[in-house]
Amino acid sequence: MLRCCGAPASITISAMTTKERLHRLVDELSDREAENTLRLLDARHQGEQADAEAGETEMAALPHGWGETLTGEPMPNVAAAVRRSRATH
Amino acid sequence: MLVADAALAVELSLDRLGEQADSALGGEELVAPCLLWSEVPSVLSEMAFRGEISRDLATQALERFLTGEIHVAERRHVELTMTAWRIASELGWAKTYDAEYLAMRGFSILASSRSTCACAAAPTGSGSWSRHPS
Repeated sequence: MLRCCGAPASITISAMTTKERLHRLVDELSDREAENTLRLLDARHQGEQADAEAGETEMAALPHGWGETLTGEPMPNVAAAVRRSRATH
Repeated sequence: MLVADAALAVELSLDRLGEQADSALGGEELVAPCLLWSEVPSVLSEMAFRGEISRDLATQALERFLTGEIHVAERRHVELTMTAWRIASELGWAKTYDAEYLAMRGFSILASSRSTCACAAAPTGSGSWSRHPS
């Protein structure tokens, strides 16, 4: 079934839902590819769970002039990144 | 002597002012257990993998960290691991990563008190600090 943009129940790009496409893709993977993909997804899922459990990590204010990366962007939340890294290894 | 954990070391490695950390911290020496040299590359790599920072920035930060530009010195203590093990157990922590930094902080306070006490011998031999041979 084709749905137009903004359909709330599920995302339909072609004649298949996203889940149907995922099922088909999984069926086409070799055992090794499936294992690698599972490992990757599992690690990412665990990281997202750790993020949710930790909530927003509180950061102390930095002195004036600090908080900008070598390439000029604002400093990302490093404390959250460390917490996530530890939760997944 | 201050103990730097992975969050501080990563942030100093990324920050354009990171090389000024020692002066910003009042001239205190920054030390860390060898665990830091595994954690920092891993965190930087994961941040780049997730697109939170560019791969180029992650590489620059790692090089800065490894070449000692942010002035964190590696220290070892023969009792560090077992002390961290006990701290984790007492605090109900499954992992010992945070406990290693806490244990090192305890040893650094002990070392400072010994070095400022006129009647105490300098810490040598078993249980003393050592620099990682580079």
